Amino acid sequence: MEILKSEKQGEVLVAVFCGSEFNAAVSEKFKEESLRYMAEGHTRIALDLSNVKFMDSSGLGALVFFLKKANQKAGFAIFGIGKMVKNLLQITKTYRAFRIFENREDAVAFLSAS
Amino acid sequence: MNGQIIRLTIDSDMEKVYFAVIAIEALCNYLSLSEDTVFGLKLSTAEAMNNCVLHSYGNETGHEVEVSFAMDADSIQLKVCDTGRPMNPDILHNFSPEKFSDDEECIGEAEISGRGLSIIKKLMDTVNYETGGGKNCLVMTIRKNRQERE
Repeated sequence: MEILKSEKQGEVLVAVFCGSEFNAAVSEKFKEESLRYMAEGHTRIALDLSNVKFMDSSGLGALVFFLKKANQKAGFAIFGIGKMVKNLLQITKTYRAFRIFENREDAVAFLSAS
Repeated sequence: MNGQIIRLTIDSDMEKVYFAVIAIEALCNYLSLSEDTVFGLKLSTAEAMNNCVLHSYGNETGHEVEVSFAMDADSIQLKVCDTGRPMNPDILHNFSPEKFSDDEECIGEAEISGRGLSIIKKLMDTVNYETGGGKNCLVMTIRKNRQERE
């Protein structure tokens, strides 16, 4: 079963993380699926994390992996992060590495203009 | 700490770790612990159990990973044990929350995903490693009403 579902909104690909746990059990699958988007030529990607209730360091590592890859070729933004994920980003000092938006509209607007 | 409440054993499978996290969360909510304490206990459970699966058992299923939860008047003790390859105890001292970089250019996947122990040390009040009788245990304590950003 795929963990990302996506749709185009203008020039931006909006990918929704479908599960509620972004952890070691799915981190490799996330990397595989997200890299496929770049291989398909998408250059502006917004990741919806609103379903994610729990993230561990493996999940965050996979997110950082994709951030690094995406920044080489594409614009990358995340939105819909909950309190647990926000806390994890803050304690690991990764919060400022991401472009984080409250909602889909803001993330898509930012990427569309970039 | 002698007020043990639960002991839970899962198979050494990454997909099973979250079941233990859910059980710890339910217990925390029942005990009305502070939000930061619950966050610390859940994430530390996951990170410690992931380490058992990945490092002690080489990501091989069919082995036991155990978490036990005990409390006294002021604090909670979380103990995560395996019977696999013991960790070098020096590793525990080498990981420090201060090693998280503030420089986003320096942030890498390996830095984050390899920092489960740093996260645990950041979230918990004490962290120790015990081996003996073929069992390896990470023993962690946290105050019941810890405020993370205090």
